[in-house]
Amino acid sequence: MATIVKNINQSRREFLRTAGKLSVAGAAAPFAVNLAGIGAAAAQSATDYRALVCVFLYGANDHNNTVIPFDTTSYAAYTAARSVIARPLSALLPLTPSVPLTGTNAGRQFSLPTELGGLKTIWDAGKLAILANVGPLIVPTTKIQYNNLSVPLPPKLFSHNDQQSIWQASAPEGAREGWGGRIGDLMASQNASSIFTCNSITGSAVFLAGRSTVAYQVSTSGSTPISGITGSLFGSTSASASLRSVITSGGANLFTQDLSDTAQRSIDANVSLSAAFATAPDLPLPAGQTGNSLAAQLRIVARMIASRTAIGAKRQVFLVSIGGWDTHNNQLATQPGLHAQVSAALSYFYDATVSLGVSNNVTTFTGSDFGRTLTSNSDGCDHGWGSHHFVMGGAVKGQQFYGTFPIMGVNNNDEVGSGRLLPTTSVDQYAATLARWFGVSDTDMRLVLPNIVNFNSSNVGFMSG
Amino acid sequence: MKTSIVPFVAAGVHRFRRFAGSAIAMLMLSLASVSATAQSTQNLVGFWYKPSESGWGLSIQQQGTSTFAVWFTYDLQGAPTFNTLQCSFTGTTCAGDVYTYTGTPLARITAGANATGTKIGTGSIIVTSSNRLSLSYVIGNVNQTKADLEPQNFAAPDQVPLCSLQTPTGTGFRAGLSNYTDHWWGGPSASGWGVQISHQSNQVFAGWYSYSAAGKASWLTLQGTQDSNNSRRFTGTIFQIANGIPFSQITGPIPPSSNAAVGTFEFNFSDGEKGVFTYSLPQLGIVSSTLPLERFAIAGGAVNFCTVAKTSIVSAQEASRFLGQATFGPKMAEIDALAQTGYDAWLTAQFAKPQTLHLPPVAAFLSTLPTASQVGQTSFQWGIWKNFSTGDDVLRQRMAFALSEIFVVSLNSNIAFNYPRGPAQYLDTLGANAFGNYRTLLEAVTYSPMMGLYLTHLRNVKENVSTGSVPDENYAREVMQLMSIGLHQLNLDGTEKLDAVGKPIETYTNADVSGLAKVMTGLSWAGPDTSNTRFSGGNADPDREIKPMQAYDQYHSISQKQFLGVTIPAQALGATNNDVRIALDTLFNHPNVGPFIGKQLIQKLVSSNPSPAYVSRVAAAFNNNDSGVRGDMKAVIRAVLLDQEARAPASGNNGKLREPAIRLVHWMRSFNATSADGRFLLTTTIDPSTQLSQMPMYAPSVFNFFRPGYIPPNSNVGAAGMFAPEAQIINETSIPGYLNYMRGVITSGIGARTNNVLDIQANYNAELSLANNPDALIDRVALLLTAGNLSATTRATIRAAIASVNIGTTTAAADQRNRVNLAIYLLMASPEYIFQN
Repeated sequence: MATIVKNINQSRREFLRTAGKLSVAGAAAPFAVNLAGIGAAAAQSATDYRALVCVFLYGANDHNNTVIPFDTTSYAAYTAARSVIARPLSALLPLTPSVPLTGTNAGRQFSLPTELGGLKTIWDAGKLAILANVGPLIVPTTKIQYNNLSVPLPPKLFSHNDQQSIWQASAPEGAREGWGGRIGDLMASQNASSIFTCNSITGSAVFLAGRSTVAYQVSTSGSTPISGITGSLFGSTSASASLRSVITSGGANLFTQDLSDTAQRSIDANVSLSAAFATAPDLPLPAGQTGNSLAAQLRIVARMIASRTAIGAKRQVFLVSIGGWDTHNNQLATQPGLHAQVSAALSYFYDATVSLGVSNNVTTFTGSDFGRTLTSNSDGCDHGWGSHHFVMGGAVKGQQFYGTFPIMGVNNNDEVGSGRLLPTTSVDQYAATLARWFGVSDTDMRLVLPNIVNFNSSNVGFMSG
Repeated sequence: MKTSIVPFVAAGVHRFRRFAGSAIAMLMLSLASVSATAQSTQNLVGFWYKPSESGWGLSIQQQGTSTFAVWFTYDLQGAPTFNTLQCSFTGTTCAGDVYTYTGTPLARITAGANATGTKIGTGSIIVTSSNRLSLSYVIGNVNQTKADLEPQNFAAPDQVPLCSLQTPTGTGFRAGLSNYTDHWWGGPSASGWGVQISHQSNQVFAGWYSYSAAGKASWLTLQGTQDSNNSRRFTGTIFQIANGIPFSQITGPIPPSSNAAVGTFEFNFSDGEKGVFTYSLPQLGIVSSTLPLERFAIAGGAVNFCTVAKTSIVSAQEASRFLGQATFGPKMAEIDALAQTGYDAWLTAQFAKPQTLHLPPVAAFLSTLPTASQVGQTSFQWGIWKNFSTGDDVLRQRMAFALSEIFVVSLNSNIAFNYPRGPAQYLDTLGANAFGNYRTLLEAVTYSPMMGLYLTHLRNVKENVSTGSVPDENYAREVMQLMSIGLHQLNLDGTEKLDAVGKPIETYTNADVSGLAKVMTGLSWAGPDTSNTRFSGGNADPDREIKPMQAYDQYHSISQKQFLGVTIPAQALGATNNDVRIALDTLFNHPNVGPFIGKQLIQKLVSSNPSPAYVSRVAAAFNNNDSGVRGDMKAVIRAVLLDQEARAPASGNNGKLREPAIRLVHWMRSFNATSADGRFLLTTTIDPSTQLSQMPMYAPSVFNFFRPGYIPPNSNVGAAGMFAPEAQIINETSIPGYLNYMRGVITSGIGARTNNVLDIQANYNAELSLANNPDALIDRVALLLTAGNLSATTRATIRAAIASVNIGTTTAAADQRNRVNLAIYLLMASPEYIFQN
C-alpha cells in the first residue's frame, strides 16, 4: 500500500492538481482553504467505515408506476390519467408504513409493483425508505413562481443529459464537480489511498468528480491489468518497461498528459485492488441473476467494501447504474423487467452487506434523470421533473415515507403540465441528508451543495444517527 | 503486370515507340524547371536505348553537369557486362573515361562489392535533340557512335518521370519522393554494385549491375509492379540474357529468346531515400537475400528530384494527417496518391465515388438462413468492419459513421434483434446523404423506421382529449436538441448568444416540444395501404424495415400546432407529410444549424476545440455554398477539412482523441487487413475491460458514446477549459481493455476463429521487410499511424524496444515479426497516437 500511495503522491498529476488548487485559491481562497481544512479535520475523527452507493436509473424511471397510489381515490385518479399504462391493482403490493402519513398525505396509501417485491421485503424489515417527489430545485418553488419565472429554475429541465448532470452535480452538462466527488474531497484524507475514495462501476459520470478527487472507474470484472507491462512482450524482456513508459510518459499536450495520468492510475489501482480481491469473499450473484448488470456492478461494490481494510478505505462513494428507463413507448413491456432487475440487485446487495457485517455502514440510494409525465402518450410517457426514490441500509429509518406526495392528477398546483411534478424536496436536501450521515458537518454542507442554504432544512430525516 | 518489359529486346520496341512524341514534350517541360546552373543541359535521368538495337541501353544519372552513366551491354564473348562513363557536360557534350570493373560475385555480396575499375577507353554522350542522344566510344580499336538513343517509356506518357535539380536542404531531402526513378546503391560503405531504377506508373524496370561468379562485371534486369495496397513495395521477376552479342558487333536487336527469368525480387522502400532490396536467384543458390538500398548522390552538387508528371503537392506526412481526419486512417498507397493529387482533387474524387452499401451483404447473408433465423445484427456488424476498412468511398464511409454519432440510432436497444436489415439501411441512408443536402438528410432520418423505432415516433398517435393521452415527445425533443438546433441560440461562430443579464438563451421551451410532438404523429410502417392494422404493426410489408415510414393521416394531430414561432392552423383532416415538411423547413432554416452541426463535424473529424473563427467559416459554408445553396454537405465537408486550422501544422492541444473503434479500423486499413472469409467476421467490440468500449451504432443512448461538450472531470484538459468528447469512454478500465485487445489484434488478427486462425489478418510484409532497420520501420509505421508526428522521447523508447529483439539466424522470421509487432503496438498504445493532432 505504501508504495502505491507514494506513487500517486509523487505523480505529476498530483503536482499539477496541487498547483491547480493554489491557483484556484488565489481566485476563491475561502472555498479552497475550507475544503483543505475540513478534510484534515474529518480525518482526525474517522474511526468507522461508511459507504454511499448511488444507483442511478439512466433514462428517467417512471415514478408513477414505481410508487403507485393504492387508496381508492388516488388509484382512481391514477388510472384515469394513465389509461392503458396504469398497472392493475392485482399487480400491486401495498406498503404499510411504520409511521402513518400525515398532513396533505394523511390517509393515502401507496404500493410497489410486484416486480419490486424484493424491495418490499427490505421495506418490511425497516431498512428501506421512500422519498416522495424529489427533484432539482435552486430554491423552494411554487407553481405560481414557476409560471411567472419569479424564482431561478434549474436550467434545461426535461433534457436527459442535462438533468442527469444537474442531479449529480447541481449544474447542466459540462459541470466538472458532482456532489459525490465533493464529499470525496472532504473524506479522501481518511483513506490510505485517495484513489479508491470515489468509485464508478459504470463508466464516466460527473457525480464522482471532485475538486481533487478523481473517480476510479472499474469494471464488473474488477480491476483490469495491462498484460503487456509485465513479463516478456513480443519476444523482449525489456519491451514491457517500454510499454509502461510510453503509456505513462505524459507527452507534450494536455490530452496526452490526461491519457498518461489515467493509465498510471489504472496501473496503480490494479496493483492494489487485484491483491485485495485475491483474498476478498467472492459474493457470487444468486442463481438467475448472472445476467443482471446492476447486480454485477453491486457485486464489485460489495467486494471492494469487503476489501476495505486491505485498501485502507474508511469513506467511499460508489456509483452503479442501469439504463433503459426512457419509456416513451412499450412501457408495460419494458419497465417491469427493469424493476425486477433493480429489486433483485438491491436485495442481493443488501444481503451482501449483512453477510459482511456492514449493513449499518452502507447506505444505498437511487437517482434518475427526472420523473415522467403522469399523462400517457398511448403506450408510454414523457419527460418530467420530480420523482420518487429509495434509500436502503441499516442506518436508514426505513418502512417510512418522507417528503410529500403530490395530488394525483393534472392541472393542479403540484405539477407543471401533463403531470410533470414540481418537486417538493430538492435533490440538495436529499443529498445533504446522506452527506451528513457520511460525516459532512452542517457548516460544510454548502461546500458540497452550494444551493442547500436556500432551503429551510438540510435534513429530510430518513437517516438515523 | 503487362507482358514482360524487355527494353533492350526487340519484342517491346513497338510499344515504347508509340509514346515517344509525348515523352519528348514531358522532357521539355522538365527542362523548364531545371535550375539555371544546369541550363546548358537537359536533365537526362533514366534509361535510354536504341529501338532498332533493343537489348542494350544506357542508364544516365545526371546531377547538374555531373553525369554518371551505366552502359549495359555485352563483352567480346557476348556475356552481359557493364561499363561506366563518368563525365561532365559542356554544352551538349559530356566526354569522359570508360571503365570496366571486377568485384565480388553477386552471390557473395552482403554489403560492398570491392569493385576495382579499369579504364578501357573514352566516351561521350551528345545531346542531339531534345529527346535524342548519341553515344560514342573509343575502346581499344573499336571506335563507334550509336546515334538516336531515345528515352525508354514503358507506361503512359504522363507517367514519365520528371526530374529536376534541387539544392539539398539537409538530410532526408528526398524522403518524401514517391517516384523511385534514380540510381540506387548500397551506400558509401557498400559501393560497387547498384540498381538503376526507372519507375513509371505502377511499374518498375531496373538494371542491376554486379559481378559474375568469376568476378567480372555483369548485369541482370528486374521488372516489377507496385503492390496495390502498398505503393512503396514492388515485386517482380529477375531476367538474365545469357548469350548476347559482343558490343562492337551489334547492328540489330538482341534475340528476345535469350532473355530468361532467373529469379524474383522485391523493393520495399521505407521512404523516398531508402529501401530494402530482397531477391531470390535459385540458380545461384540464393533463396532469399536482402541488401539495403539508398539513392545515389553525386557528391557536392544538387540532387535530382524525380516525380511523375504531376508534381507532389503535399508531403507524405501532410497527406497522412489529412487522411487521418477524413478517413478511418490511411493506407500507404493513399498517402502517396494524395501527395500527388492534393486535397481538393482528392475530395472531388471521393465525392464522385459510388457508395459502398451496407445493406446488400446483410441481405445476402440473411438469404442463406431459414426464415425463422433471420434476426439479429451479426452480419450488419461484419459489414461495418468490411466497408469501413475496405470501401473505396473512404470519405463517405467516414462521414456516415460521424453522422451515425449525431443522428444516433443504436442497436443497444429494442430494435436490435428483430430488424436485421433496418440498421444497415439506416447507415446507407446516412452515407447516401453525406454528400447531399442537410435538409434531405434530416428528412431521411425523420422518416427512417429505425429512427422511428428508436425515438418512438413510429406509431405516434395524436392527442386524445377523452383519455388525456398526448403525443409522444421523444423525437420532437431530440431532433431539436441533438440533430438540428441545440439547446441555446448560437452565434455564427458557435458561441452562445447571451441575454441582457449574460445568460444563454434557450432555443425552445417545453411548449415548442409539445407542439412539434403533434407534428410528429401519424407516421408508421411503410406498406401498400394506410390501414389501422398496418399502422399498428400488423399486416407487415416484408420490406418495411428498409422503407421510409409513411403517413397515416387518421392518426395525425389536427389541432393547431405551434413551435419555434411557427403556427400550423387546425386542420379538418390530418396532413402529416405537409406538417412534417413545414417543421423540417423550420428547423433547417434556423440560424443555429450551421454552427451547431458544423462544430460537431469539426469535432468528429479534426479538433475537439475549434476556434470560433473556424466554426464560423464552416457555418458560413453551411449557410451558403457560394452558389446560394444552404445545407450543402459537400461545402461543409470541404470547409471542415480544408480550413486553415485543420491544415495548419499539428501543434499543442489542437486535435482530438481518436475513437477506439476508429483505431481498430485504422489498423485494418494501414496494415491492409483482409478477411479469409471475405466478410470480416467480427461482431462486438463493446466491452470496456476486454475490448474497445465502443462499436459503431451501438451507443448507450441517443446521446452517443460521448457528448460534444464533455469535459473530463478533474483533468488537465478540463482545467484549461477545453472539451475532450472521446475521453468520456477513456478510463482506468477501458485503457487496459484497449491495450490488451490491440495486443491480441496485432499479434493474431481478430474475428471468428477457423482452424485456429482468426478471420481478419493484417499483411505486414512491408513492415517485415524493414524489420532489420528499426529506424526505417518506425518511420513507416509512424507515417501510417501518427502522420510522422512522434516525440523524440517516445521514438527513442520504441526504437530501443524494437532493437532489443535480436534477429537470430534461425529465428529471423519470428524475430522480425516481433519487431513489427512492437513497432505497431507501442505506437498504437502511445498517447501521441491516441491524440490525433
